[in-house]
Amino acid sequence: MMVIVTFISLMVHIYTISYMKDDTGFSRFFSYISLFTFAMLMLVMSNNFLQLFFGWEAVGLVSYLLIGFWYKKPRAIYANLKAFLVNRVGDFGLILGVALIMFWFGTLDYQEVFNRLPALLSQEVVLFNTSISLVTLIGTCLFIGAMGKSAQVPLHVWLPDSMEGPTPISALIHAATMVTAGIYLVARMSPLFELSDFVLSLVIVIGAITAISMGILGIVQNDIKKIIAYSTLSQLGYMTVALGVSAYSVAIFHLLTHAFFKALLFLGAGSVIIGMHHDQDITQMGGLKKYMPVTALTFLIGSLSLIGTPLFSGFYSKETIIEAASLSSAWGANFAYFALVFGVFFTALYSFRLYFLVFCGEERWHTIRRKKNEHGLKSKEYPVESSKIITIPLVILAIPSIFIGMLLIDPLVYGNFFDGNIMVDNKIHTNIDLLASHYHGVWSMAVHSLFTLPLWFAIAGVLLAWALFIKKMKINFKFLNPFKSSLKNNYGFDDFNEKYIAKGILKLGDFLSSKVDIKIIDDFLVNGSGRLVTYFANKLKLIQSGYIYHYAFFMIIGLFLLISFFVRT
Amino acid sequence: MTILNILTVIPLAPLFAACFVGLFGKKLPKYYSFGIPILGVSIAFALSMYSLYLTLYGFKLNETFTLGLHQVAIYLKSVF
Repeated sequence: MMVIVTFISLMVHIYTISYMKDDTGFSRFFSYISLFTFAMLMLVMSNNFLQLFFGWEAVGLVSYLLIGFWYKKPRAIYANLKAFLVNRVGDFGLILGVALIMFWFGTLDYQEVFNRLPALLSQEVVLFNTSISLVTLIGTCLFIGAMGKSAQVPLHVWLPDSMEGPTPISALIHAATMVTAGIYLVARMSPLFELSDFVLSLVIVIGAITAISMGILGIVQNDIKKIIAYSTLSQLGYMTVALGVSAYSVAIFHLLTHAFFKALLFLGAGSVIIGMHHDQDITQMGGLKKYMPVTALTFLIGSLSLIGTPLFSGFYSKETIIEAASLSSAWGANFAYFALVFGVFFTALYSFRLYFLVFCGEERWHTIRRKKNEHGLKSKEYPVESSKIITIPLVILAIPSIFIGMLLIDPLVYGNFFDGNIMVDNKIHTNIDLLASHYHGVWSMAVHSLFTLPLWFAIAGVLLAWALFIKKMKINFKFLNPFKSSLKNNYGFDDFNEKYIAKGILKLGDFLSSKVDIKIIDDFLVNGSGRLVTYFANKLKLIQSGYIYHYAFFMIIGLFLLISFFVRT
Repeated sequence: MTILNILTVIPLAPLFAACFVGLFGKKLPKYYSFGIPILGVSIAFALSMYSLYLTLYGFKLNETFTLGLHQVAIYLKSVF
């Protein structure tokens, strides 16, 4: 993980020199991305929950600063606030999980917690009059934390909006850091998750829903960065399914390959955005291959890796996840298998829709009439290839996007690289042993893929994209019209959150402000205590009459009471 | 030196770079603003690779080893 984080971060740092060169916050941006790297390193290097939590929150804080880097843009401020708030929901789950661990295990050290797990296996906790296994409760809480950070449905809503930040940070957040933290957490906690079938099934179902539903959303987006963001969500779903079927090493392997090709795609998108003078709408691009050959070639490599083309990095990790799901007997694994296979079709469709609309076909930017200060190429302007500071990181990232899968599948998935760090109960979850028995090397895996569904689904997706966006075939998709508005609306998640959750919280806030804060705290407690003092002062001042015989009278009574007290005792 | 010493430097290098550029970035020439963070992350990356190599070759976290050119030579020989 450290190598992945630092390598991708280094590429992003180099790329940023050119991407942000004219920005007034140049040094501030570099400071933030270095701090982000530090936070992520703290998270992955931790051997205890306290350090993990520190890294977890630091990543959340710096992502807030980076998404809202252009703080004068209202949409950027909205996006960073949204990311911050949604992540707090997940963090609440994580902190509950950590608190439960501290309460029941008396330690936050990973190894000590894992050593004490067998002793607390049968421990049950009563929650809302229902008895729940302690391990299940802790696992669920930790997974809620992972859902927030790794943007799993329904806590995914922050991620597409986070595209308001500068492109280098989109690459850093969505490739190597932040979103992978949740996947890393579950894989690191494998000894705990292995003990609860309920949590594993929950992980499978959430991952499968994320993989398919977010892949479908990628098709209807027109913003180049948002398409890649939805692709990230979908691929995180694949990783989550791998975790759920106990293929933890495969999830980390996909995290590794995904880091390279997704960083490549994001940085490639950044190069396109610079070439198009900050226009991000792919329907206004086209034919850029001629003007930006290096970006086009590296983007094609990233897309081929993403859709799982045989021999590319993404193929080995994605194919292994699908096979692990097909061999799993866990509840929900069959649903996950079909979701992942159909997900391959949608991945290919949105990836090549993006590639064809941006780099191939007619040059559409000529036909757009723009206002003076509007982003985008003006008439008689042409895109140019980005500088070498931008293209060199693209070329460097393209190399592992092709080769890293075939080089590392043996040691990472079928070797002993993760021995002692990842634990799988092979007696219950037999799919991992079966997976190993089906594997006969990288070449035979590529040949075998010719006879499996995912490859043909991927080919079908590419062909459909080609027919629709290159050949301009008129295919009747009227039957999809009822779903269009739902898809454009992100399945209504944002509307639901704004209408019910945000408004509900606002109403609660109004109630607490008007009734609790103003009436009880301000009026009753603060002003009330003042009023009480004034009342007693008014009463007491009546005895200050100014006549000496009144004071003498009170002195005699006081003396009498004092003497009575001493006489009695 | 132990791997633990190296592991300590890995997160600290980008942290120092972030603090330095965050505090003095505006007052320094532009190449310091990107040069120092890139140096910090490069150090972190190089040391991450080195600690991975040492771990793969069986070194324990607290086992002492000497960091010398001959080891770099052994490493390069093993790679190429």
